[in-house]
Amino acid sequence: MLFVRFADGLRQSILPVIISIVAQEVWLAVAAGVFFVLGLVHAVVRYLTFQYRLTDDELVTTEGILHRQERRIPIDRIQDLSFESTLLRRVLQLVVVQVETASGQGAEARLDSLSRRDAGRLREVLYQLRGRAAGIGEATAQPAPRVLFRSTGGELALLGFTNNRVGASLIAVLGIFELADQLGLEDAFRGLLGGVVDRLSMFGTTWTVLFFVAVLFLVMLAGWAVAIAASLVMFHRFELSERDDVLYRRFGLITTRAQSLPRRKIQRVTVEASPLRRLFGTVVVRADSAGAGAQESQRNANQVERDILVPLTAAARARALVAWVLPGLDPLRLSWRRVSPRVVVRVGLKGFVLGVVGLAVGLPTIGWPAWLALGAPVLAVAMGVLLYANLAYARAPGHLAFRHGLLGQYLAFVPVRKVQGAVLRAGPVERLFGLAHVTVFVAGGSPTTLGNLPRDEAETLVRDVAIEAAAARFVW
Amino acid sequence: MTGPTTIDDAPGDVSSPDTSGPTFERLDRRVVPYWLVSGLFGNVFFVLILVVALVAFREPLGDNATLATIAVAVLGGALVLFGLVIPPLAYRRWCFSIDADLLVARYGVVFHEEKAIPVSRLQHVDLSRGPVERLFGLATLVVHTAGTEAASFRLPGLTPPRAEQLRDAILEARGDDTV
Repeated sequence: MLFVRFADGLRQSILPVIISIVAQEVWLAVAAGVFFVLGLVHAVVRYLTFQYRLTDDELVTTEGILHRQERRIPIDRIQDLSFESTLLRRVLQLVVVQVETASGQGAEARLDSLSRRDAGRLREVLYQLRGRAAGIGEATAQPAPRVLFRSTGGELALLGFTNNRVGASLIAVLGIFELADQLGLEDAFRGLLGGVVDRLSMFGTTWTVLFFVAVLFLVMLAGWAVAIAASLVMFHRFELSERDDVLYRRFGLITTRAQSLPRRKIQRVTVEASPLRRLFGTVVVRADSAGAGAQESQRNANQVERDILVPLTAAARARALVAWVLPGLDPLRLSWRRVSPRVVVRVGLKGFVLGVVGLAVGLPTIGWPAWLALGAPVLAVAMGVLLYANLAYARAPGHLAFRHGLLGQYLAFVPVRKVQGAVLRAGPVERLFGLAHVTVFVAGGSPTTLGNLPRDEAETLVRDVAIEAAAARFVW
Repeated sequence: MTGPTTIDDAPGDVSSPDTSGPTFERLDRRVVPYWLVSGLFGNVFFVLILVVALVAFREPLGDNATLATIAVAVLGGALVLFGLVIPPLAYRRWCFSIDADLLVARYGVVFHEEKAIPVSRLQHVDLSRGPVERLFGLATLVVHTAGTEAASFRLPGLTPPRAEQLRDAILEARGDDTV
């Protein structure tokens, strides 16, 4: 671990050093050096003071000299163990183990740089202890894991292709312009650009436009290439397997990750088809566990990819997988109930108001283009119809399913025994239309909401779900 | 301010909210003055800050001072009016029921809410009594679930004995089914 810290510190201090050389400011290099040494001292202290041990029913970690901290995590509260290994750590045969509980704050404890053997042993012991706590005989032989899903290269390429990173790459290009501006390379840049434009203008406006369209197209292509490469690297050899009701994921080319997730800890499964992915008939499957509780806004990329059960696959395969992950649920045989058709009127009215306001404000100020605002109601009605087509819910014994989407389609399956509460909400406008929306809470993950239900149906739904949840025994 | 489908429109009949289904219970009447006082206290404080700011910045505001005064007056008036109008309406809307399985509560004046929480999911139950609350002889029951959002729910306007009674009933009904 010391070596990893050393290398990390070195890596982090390289950039300031380079900048200090470029900017010819010595104090920056000195500051970087000081931070590096401090970081090293911190690493040594951490290494010397960090300890973990496993008792019969607790995982205990201690750390710190001045601020001594001891953490005890009851084993039956541990939701998930995840292993992560960056390139450097892989070379050194080390892994970072993250212990997650239902606290909803992300990782409860982080054991940095365990040797691979120790980490594997920790997991085995943990699961054995937990199995014993759950009354499962500890002497049962470990069967080989059964592979449930394996990503193909084509799927991963498609995942990257349908990733919404093309726009991001355009922004990146703008960022480069900005950076050039900041670094004083602006003049050189402008000179270059001006030269190109000058030369082009000899061929006429059409060619200039064509040139810029071509550049834009190239940037988009580059964006796609980057996105595809990124998903190929990130989810390289993604494999989902199962043993003793525990799901195992392993993936990654440079940073490898191995995560486990007991099936009964799953709080919600979502099947997401963004518009582009829906076009290809493919979906992304995610599972929320109680450990992954951070709120949507706080989620970083790391957490988002953590939830992934299947990076991308054909919709039919995903359904089969959902049926396995949530026993008793058959996604194919759900009878979906649509929401109230008044959603079309509601959205349409919104568009109408928007259009009228746009026209009233726009006509005196910008003139005739303001008439375009009248397109808003038409657009809104079309949107309403699409919404209505996608919005639906379904009840199956022990499960609740929500569906929404505009061009894409997003499904959420919630085991009712995991439900912590249900709430109906109806704002003033919704009440005007006799509508309400229903939100179902589970421990971990974001709440699941379905809007535009008729008020009485929403009331029944909330009541029924809560009653069924109360009747079902809650198991973690 | 409220829609056509709600019980708020029941003319003058304060004692019968929408209590269809299981037996619903009203909050204690004293919750209205409590809300009035605690709400107005905050609002008046806020308006006072605005007034002080107005006086302090009269010089730099110059010609805009009159405009700012009108804005503060309108805002302050609206806040105080809201503080006066909302509590009685909220009282009329609030009702709840607790049995061995479910805690159901209906509340919300502008945004109607109806919450159902399985009692077996409740992690722990608190009784909370703020200074103003004590003045009015009231208590709030705070129940916590394991959800990450909306993980705690406050049931205000209870008499202390009733709150304790509810807490004990919940703890008994809950059994050992939690995290």
